[in-house]
Amino acid sequence: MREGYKIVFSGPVGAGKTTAISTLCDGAIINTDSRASDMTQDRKAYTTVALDYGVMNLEGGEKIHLYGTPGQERFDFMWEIITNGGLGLILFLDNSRPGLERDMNFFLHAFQDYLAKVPLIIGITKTDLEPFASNEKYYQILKTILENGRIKIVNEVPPILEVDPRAKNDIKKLVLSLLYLLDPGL
Amino acid sequence: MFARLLRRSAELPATFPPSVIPLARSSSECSNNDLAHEGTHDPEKAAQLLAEVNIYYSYGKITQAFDTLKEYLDIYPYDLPQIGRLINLARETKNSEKIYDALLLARSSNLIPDEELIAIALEELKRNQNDIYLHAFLMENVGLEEEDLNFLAPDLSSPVLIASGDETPVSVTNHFSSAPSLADSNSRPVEKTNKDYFSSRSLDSAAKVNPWPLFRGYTSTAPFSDQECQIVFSLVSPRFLLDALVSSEDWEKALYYAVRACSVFPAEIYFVVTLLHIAYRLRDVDLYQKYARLLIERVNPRGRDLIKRIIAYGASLSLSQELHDCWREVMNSSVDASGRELITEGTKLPSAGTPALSALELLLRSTSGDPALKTFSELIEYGQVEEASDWLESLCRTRTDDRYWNAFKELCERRGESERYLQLKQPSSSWERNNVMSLAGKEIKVAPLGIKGQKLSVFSLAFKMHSARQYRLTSASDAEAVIGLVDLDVLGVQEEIAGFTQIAPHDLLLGLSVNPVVRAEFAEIISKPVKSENLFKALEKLLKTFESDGSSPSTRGSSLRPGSAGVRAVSAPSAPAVAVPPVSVATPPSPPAAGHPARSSTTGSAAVPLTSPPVSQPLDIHSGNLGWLLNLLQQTSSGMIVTERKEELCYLHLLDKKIELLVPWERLAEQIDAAAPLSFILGNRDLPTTGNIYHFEYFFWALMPLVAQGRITTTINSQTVIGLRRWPNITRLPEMPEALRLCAFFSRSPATPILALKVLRVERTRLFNFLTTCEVLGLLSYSTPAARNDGSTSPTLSPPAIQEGKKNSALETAPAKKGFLGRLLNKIMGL
Repeated sequence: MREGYKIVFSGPVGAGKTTAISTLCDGAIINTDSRASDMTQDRKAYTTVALDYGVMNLEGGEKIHLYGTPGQERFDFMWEIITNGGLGLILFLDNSRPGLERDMNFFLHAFQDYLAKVPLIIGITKTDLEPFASNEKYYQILKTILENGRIKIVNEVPPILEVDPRAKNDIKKLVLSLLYLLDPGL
Repeated sequence: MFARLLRRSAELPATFPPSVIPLARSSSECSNNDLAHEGTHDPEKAAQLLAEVNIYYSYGKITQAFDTLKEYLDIYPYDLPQIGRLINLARETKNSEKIYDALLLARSSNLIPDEELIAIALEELKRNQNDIYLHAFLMENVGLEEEDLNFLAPDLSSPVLIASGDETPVSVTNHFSSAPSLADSNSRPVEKTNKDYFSSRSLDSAAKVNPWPLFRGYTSTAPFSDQECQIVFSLVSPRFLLDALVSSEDWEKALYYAVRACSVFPAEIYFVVTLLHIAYRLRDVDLYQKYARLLIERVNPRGRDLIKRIIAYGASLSLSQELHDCWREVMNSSVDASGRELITEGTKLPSAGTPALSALELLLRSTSGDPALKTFSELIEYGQVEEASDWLESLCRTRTDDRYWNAFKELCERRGESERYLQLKQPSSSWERNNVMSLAGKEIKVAPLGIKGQKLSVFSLAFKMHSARQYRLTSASDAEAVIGLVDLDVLGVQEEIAGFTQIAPHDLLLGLSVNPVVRAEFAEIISKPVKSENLFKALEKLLKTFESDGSSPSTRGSSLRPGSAGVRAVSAPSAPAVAVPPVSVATPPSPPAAGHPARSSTTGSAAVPLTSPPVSQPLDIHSGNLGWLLNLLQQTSSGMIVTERKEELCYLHLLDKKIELLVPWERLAEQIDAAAPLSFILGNRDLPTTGNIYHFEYFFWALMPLVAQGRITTTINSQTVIGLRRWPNITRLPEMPEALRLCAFFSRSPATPILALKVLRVERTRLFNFLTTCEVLGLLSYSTPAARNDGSTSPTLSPPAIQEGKKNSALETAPAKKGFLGRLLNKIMGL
């Protein structure tokens, strides 16, 4: 038995990865937030420059390591390290950003090797700022990206769910979706 | 100058030269004053950059940390602690150009005394006496002269290329245009080409001058001549040069220098080995063979490691035949007894194939030209040692020739499997002998599920080669197949599993997956990439367990796998497709059992509350009030839905795609399902901002389970393969039992409802409610258009008689899930 497994949270700056991990993990998370700068500063005061890390302790001493990747592309060298051995990828997309399609395209390409092995879950956030349309729209975007980019993912119909990272129930459902995708017989 | 330096050196700190730049002042101390020097600055960007530096550094990316810190210092050029850090980072990179940059930046800040910078530069110079950048810093930037350097560091050799006497000064600027010039304007040398440089000097004199251009020469596009190479090698260790090129995977240049190193240093066997390495990486078989032979010619007691390497490389490069030829030459001619010993030693390597190679060698020596050995040698060539062993074992079984037995004995001994040889040669008991022999003749059929194309060929070959038992890969529809080998990562494999379990006499399933999470229906799941050893061990284990009660596979029941009896009951071929009752056998949750309590199905019907539901009508969503309502939604005019008695049920705001509920859900559902027709009254009504206003998806998600009440839509029958076209936005929908699991199941791979019942052990009413709701919302996809039931045929699935009290208690008191994912599930549920 491995000592622990990882669940990886990714997404653009300000999508809610840190909040989601805080919602799930036992105790305080370790993060490397710093004052936001550049393009990120108009979105939030602090941004994750390295990674967020939290732990969920299971009975029997097992641990689930929750990793939030930095949203900035220049930290992509960490992504491979973080994703190694992960159970799945929970991708947060900020609905209030103008380039949601571009974001989805970027992250699907960036993690395409990883997604060939583990399930993808997509959470659409900030729907209080920009209302969630029918998720058919997001599926259409996803389909186009997968086809154009010739990206193969394990679950071709991933869940695309509207979530508020502050709401425990929403995050629970995201993670449950991942678990059931790993083994629906649970 | 010298006097000035003396004065300054007297002021040097006691710890001179310091190994690390002292952080003279803290950030807070220096920031106010230092920042006063700055023109424009962006503190947020600066904070970000410093954070990045920390990250790069913590990930061991020193160069990126250095570059980012330098970027920071462009904003804050007077941040002393960071300047010190930059110098330390530069020193960590061991890159003299970066050290030069850092020193220059520090000097331009005027915050660090020259003495400290000189001390650092001198310390670095001691590590690399001929570093042109450090010399440039000291002599050009700081302004030291040669006598100053001699005074400060008398142990340093004469620095750089500036030739003395009557020799013509030579410039190396053509080699590194970005490097700083060493000579001042008065003595700036005449630029010359590479060729001029070498031709103008003897080798000896060249060797004494700056080696930097020579070292840098390997980056030049124009390679050096042999003579020039000789100079290069006299100045820069050829081993160092080649190691650098090999580690940077610059194979072409590495090859170039390695070939020359071999000719310049013919006695140095190291270069031959390096050449072999390069040839291997370049996949240059001719070159490899040439130097492999050269290496073998030089075998001596020192060549032990080299022989090992050549064997390893040769095995990887599919050169076993050539390699063997080389060996034979060596064995038969020039090499003495110690050489033979070395060859044997070389074959003891733990790397793939070598023990078998030894056996091959033995065989080839004794059975030259035997075509039966071709397969064996090919298997070894491709590193399939296990299969090669099995093949040899099969040869032993069929041939009495001692040569094969001897080879097999040697192979087993070398692989630490002496017992295997003994077992084959002299079975310890009559039972064992009979068992071994009988199994050898018995063919075990394995059905590949989800395994196609090249993978299928590979498995097929592996099975053919395996002889401890005779396996045969058959088709998924072969009813005689004993074991199902399932690629769990293939979409749609669940359907194949269902088909297999329906027709195969023993639904023994062995899974293959990149994510080998334990699943109850699989005896074992092997992690990918699959190694043949693991596969056959797992198969053997499976069969051993199967045979443990003494019965043969063909006559034994399916008691091996927990829950298999239940599955058999569902998928019995005799059961008609329309039969529902068997489904219910698998549906109710069973009492907990060790291992997989939630899904350990009972093996008999006594333990399960068997309910044989009365066959009732399924739900036709296209007729009655429901069909009428769904049609209404296609319109654009808003209006009220009322009963015959004009009771207002709901208001359709069709333009906004919203429905305003005016009665309780149960009342609406009752009226929708009633025979009495509803009416639609056109009318304009403002969309209220509060109240029971729902999107269509939410509305039907909440309504349909109440309407369906465990009935499945007529569009689905037991054999309809259903997939999920998209997930509903389940986080914003009312709770529906098991909806997440069902979404995950049907989205991952299309499956029939029966398979869902079997695999998920979900309550049937919940499944039917879910499917009916999804159908209404248009979330379902069908594998083929024909798969969808047009509704004209009689339904094949019908709801059970629901005993609410019983049904829910069983599920809700289901014991905690075991296994890692189960524990994680419990944790998430408990949040």
